[in-house]
Amino acid sequence: MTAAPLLALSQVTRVYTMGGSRVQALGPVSFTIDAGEFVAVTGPSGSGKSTLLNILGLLDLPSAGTYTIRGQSAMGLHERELAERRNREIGFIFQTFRLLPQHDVLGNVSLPFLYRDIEPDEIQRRCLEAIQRVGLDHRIGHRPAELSGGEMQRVAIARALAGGPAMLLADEPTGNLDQETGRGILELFDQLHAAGTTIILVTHDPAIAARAARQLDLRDGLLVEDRRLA
Amino acid sequence: MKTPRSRRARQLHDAFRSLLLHRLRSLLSTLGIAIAVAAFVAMLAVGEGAKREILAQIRIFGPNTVLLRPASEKSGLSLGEMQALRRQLTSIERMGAMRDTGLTVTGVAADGSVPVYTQTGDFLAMRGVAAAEGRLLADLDALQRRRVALVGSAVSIRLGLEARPGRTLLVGGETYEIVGIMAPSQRASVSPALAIHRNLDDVVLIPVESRATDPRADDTLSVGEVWVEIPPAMGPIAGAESLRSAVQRLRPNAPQDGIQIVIPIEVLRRETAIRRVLNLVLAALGGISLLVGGIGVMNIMLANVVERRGEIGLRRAVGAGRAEIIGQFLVESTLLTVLGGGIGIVVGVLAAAILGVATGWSVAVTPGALLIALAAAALAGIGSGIYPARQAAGVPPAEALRG
Repeated sequence: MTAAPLLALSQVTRVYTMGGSRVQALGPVSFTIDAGEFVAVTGPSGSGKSTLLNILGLLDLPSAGTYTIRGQSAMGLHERELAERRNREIGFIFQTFRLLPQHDVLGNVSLPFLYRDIEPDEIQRRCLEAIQRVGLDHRIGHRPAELSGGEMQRVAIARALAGGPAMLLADEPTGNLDQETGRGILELFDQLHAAGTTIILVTHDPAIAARAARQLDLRDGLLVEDRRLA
Repeated sequence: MKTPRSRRARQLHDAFRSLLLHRLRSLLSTLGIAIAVAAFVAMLAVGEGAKREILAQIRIFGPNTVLLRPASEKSGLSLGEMQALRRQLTSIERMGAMRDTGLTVTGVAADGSVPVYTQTGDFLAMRGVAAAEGRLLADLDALQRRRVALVGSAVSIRLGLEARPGRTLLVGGETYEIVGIMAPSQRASVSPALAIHRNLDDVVLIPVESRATDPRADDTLSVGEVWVEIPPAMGPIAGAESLRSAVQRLRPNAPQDGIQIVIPIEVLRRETAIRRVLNLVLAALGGISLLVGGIGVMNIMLANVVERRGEIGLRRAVGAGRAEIIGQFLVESTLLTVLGGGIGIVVGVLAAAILGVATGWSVAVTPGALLIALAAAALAGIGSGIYPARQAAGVPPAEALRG
């Protein structure tokens, strides 16, 4: 028996209404992603990458079609339920890190637990484990302003990992980093993937996309290629 | 740092950290609320002080006392007239009088600085005077026209051994034997409309009868202000009318305004009404300040919402629902106004104390007043935070993440 995919999109479209006219930003697209996959979503600007990422991350809902995570439909969920599922299922990594300057590394990494009922000892344990995984144990009490770009992105990855999500969604995670630092972050992704983490990475850089085992190429909101690399 | 136990406590801690990020801005935004609360606390302190002062005065005068106050030094009742009045008005419960003789105690180290007052009738009992040492002046002293003196507590401290019971004092060239020392009197600043006496602690009292050895001179001995205690069943207003008629019968040819009839409870009632209006005006000013302060906080919070749009997006992405975003901004605005309220309370208490010293008014700060002030500040915080919080929560997460 084949295991159910981690996530499945079927005939998903996203239509925006702007100034009275309808703009179809995505779809219809259909694909599935299994647990443990490392998938790169590629395409030029305006191809629908961000729209797809928003839908995959439950930040937005499709206008039509269905989207399921772990077999559970995300369609028609209440705003409160969507927030809860984002909290538990998805770890976001952004191009600009998005760390809170008022918190130190530990405070930033523990941000998802602000919205989850969980014992403080457990929060501490999970956060320390995530910080350890990204190799920042020595920076735990430092504020973002005291960290380098690469370290800030590692904190963001630790924050995404700490909540124990089903998948990591990374939007141009090396876009704000120099090549050397970016390479370090990508190596970290490789390690996480090797350890079984599902990663969906959005990039317009073919070299970065080539690190993934699978590439979904978007053009004008449509999936034009779903390529699995050997 | 230790992670707070409950989710709510962690969110409160998070809101506090957000405010600390812009300390100066946060502090400045609390100023309006601080000023409002300070005005509010000072107003309540003055109001409470006035209430207590009035209650203390009612305790001094009693609710049924009527005063016969001479319009001038010469127009006051004589001892003979007072006795006649007492005989006419049999229903009167108590009657007494006190007058500044203009004389001072001589022959002591503090020569010339201790004023001497005469008293007669039930005055000591009506003022609630008690003896700390020795005894009070008695009816027999008046009857026998004894030259005896009762020393105020402060005078006793000033004169020391010279003012012990059994020692003598010189008053107007006559020797008076000290029979007792008064216990310290009730401390209450007397309403200007009612004040004629200085504090009994600072004077020496002698019987008015001791000023004349011959009873035929009683008609020339002025007793000063007369205190009359009206029976509760009659009430002070009807009692005052009876007294007015009785004084007219006694002095058919004298001008009516020679003796003013003052009802202390009525004077206090009028003063209370005036202070109530004053309090209402101050409360309105406090309320307007609170409103202006609240608008200031709302303004800052709206600016925060715009500035922190990306942060709101991040929070939504990691699991905050609309309710959590609303809660966060409401907690922040409430923390700001409660902080302002705290500052306002400190400033208000200080302002009330300074006002009390500068004006001589009684001021009293009660825990209830502080709680009301803090609650008003918290409400202002909630009120001023609702709109910005709803604005913050209303932005869809994907849009908020775009900044």
